[in-house]
Amino acid sequence: MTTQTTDRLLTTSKAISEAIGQEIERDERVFVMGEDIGIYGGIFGATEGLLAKYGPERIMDTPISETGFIGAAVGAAVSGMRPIAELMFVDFFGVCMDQIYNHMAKIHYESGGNISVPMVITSAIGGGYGDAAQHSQTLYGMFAHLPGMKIVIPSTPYDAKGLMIAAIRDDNPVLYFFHKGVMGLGWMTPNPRATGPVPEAPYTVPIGKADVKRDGRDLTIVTVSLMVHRALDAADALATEGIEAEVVDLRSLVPLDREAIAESVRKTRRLLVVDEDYKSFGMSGEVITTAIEEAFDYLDAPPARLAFPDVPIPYSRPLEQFCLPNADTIAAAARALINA
Amino acid sequence: MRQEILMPTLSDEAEEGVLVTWFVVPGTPVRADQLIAEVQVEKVSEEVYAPADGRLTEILVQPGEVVRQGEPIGVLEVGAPDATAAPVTRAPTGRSTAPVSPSARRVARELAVDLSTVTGSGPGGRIVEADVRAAAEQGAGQGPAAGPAAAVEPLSPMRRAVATRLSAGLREAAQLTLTAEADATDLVAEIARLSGQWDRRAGYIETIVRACALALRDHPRVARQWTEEGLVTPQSIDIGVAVAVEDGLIVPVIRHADAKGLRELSREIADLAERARSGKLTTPETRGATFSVTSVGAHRVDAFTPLLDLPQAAILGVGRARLRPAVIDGRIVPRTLMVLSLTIDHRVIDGEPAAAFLDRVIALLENPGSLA
Repeated sequence: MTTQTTDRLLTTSKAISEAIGQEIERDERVFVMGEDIGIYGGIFGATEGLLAKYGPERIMDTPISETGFIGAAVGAAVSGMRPIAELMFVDFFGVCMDQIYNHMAKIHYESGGNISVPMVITSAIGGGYGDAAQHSQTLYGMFAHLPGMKIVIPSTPYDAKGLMIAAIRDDNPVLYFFHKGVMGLGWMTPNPRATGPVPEAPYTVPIGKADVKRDGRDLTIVTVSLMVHRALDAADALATEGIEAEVVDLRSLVPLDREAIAESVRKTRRLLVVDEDYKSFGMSGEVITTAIEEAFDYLDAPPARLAFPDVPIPYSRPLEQFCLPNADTIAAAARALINA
Repeated sequence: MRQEILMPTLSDEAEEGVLVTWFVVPGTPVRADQLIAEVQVEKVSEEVYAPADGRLTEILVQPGEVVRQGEPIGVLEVGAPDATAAPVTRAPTGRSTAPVSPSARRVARELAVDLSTVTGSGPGGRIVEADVRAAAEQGAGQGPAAGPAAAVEPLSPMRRAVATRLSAGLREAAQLTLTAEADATDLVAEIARLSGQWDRRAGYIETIVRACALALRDHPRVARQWTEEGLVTPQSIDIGVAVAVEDGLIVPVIRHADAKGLRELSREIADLAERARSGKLTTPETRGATFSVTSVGAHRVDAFTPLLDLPQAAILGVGRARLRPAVIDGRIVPRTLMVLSLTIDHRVIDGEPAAAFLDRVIALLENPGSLA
């Protein structure tokens, strides 16, 4: 469990914008660019208030041209700046993927280690609010498949701030995904877990370190992002039935904290992976493989997964809710893992 | 059509049996009357045959598992055997087929627990780690606390049957053992004479069974049986003869023993003993004894306390026959003497009538001519 050192509460979006602001003040090379990140404050609030505070030199609204401004960020990074570029929805990666995975992710390698690309791409992920197939995906598994980028996905305000500062200070390119549902936005379905204690002074959360968000003995639920909240809700329900679920928040997909997965499975003997990303060829498969490779002799049951089915995300609210894992389906999957 | 294959009813007394082995892999076509499984109730194993043509689709009871008589042990999909049925992969033999979790395997290795002795509590009977730890703890409670883990031998169905029946007898009956010495000198001579006369060697056992059968005619109360309704006197003299078999004991029954001569008894006892040792006795052949004889005369045992197999109320134990000094007409002479130990259920028979019965048995043995 992360040690909390303050009683001050922030939403995740405010924690992110505070982290960016503090790094802008600390390091003159840090700046932000992206669509609607200035005057609007980022459509999910990640850069709220920054333009007024730091001005258009550091907070730059861009045209709708992801290839252009992400390419510009890569250029700035290799030139010694530490840019933060916001890809408004991860779903839009298609138009700028060449800049991301052929340039940002490979320049360090192809330059023989001579050139660093110290940049952060922030992007909103996730569904659950009826934004349909092109604005609701998580897709982190697809990026994690490609070498050369670190990937962090905070689930709490505390982790959001610490991981943002760690990402900005990291000399490698980092993809920083925030789920719309963890941001604590007023217009989304209220989520009490999206508000939490955040120390005011800058701090980092190590990239590549998972966090046990809840201790348990009967099964391990490994997940990330908003599904951490859902898993914690499920764990509360399971506890009333005498089932103690341990909830492991990966926080980073690259590097993946394989030891944390193995350690928890060695403790509980059972693994359930909950993943809002598509089921096949993704995070759930990777985590389960890790458990089998590292902790096979400690398994009491075949690892199970609950993930988004391999279909485009429906616009219809009932259909979308049917597809998304939730506290009830997670609890049911946990029960099945123990009793079925 | 689905048809359940039921655990056959082999015994009125024992409700449970053990499935010993399947001869058919699930998914395999079978023909009616094809041998498909072997089951064991108490000490007797019986073969199970397919009730119809079809395909064995499911095994409900794994080898070694306990099942009640009349309960389904497998499922047959009835229909003509399907030659095109998918080839069946044979499970590795020599291992329990119950699923075992990797963690359970590891802990079983660490704690030296034999997985075939562990019952699985997981989905589909899967053995999980907690099951192995429970089994290890149970084992540890019985064995010495320190030192390397003792090898645990699974309880065979026969072991369980012997344990259950004899413990029940000790718990319920008021067992009392009387011992008396018989002078078998003349009997030894008679046995030698008979061996020369028959096409086979005669032995003590048929003479003792014969003597008991005749004595029971005169003392029918010894064969009475305790029931809560009252004492039941059996209609015939059926004598069980204990036979030691590999790691066990089996007691086939000689029906109407008092109506059979020594030669017939000799043949029948030899046949039953041989089939007991080779596991070919049927359950009815071990049921319904009204009195039993057990002998340890082949070893250096003189007297012992045989245990009752309820509802029998009496059992005679035979010690070794041995040349010993005896006093006859005031002189010490060598005689072949033998101690007989009669255990009775004192709830049914009192000491005096039991002693009178034992007297009668000895009198018959000491006058072998009366056994003819």
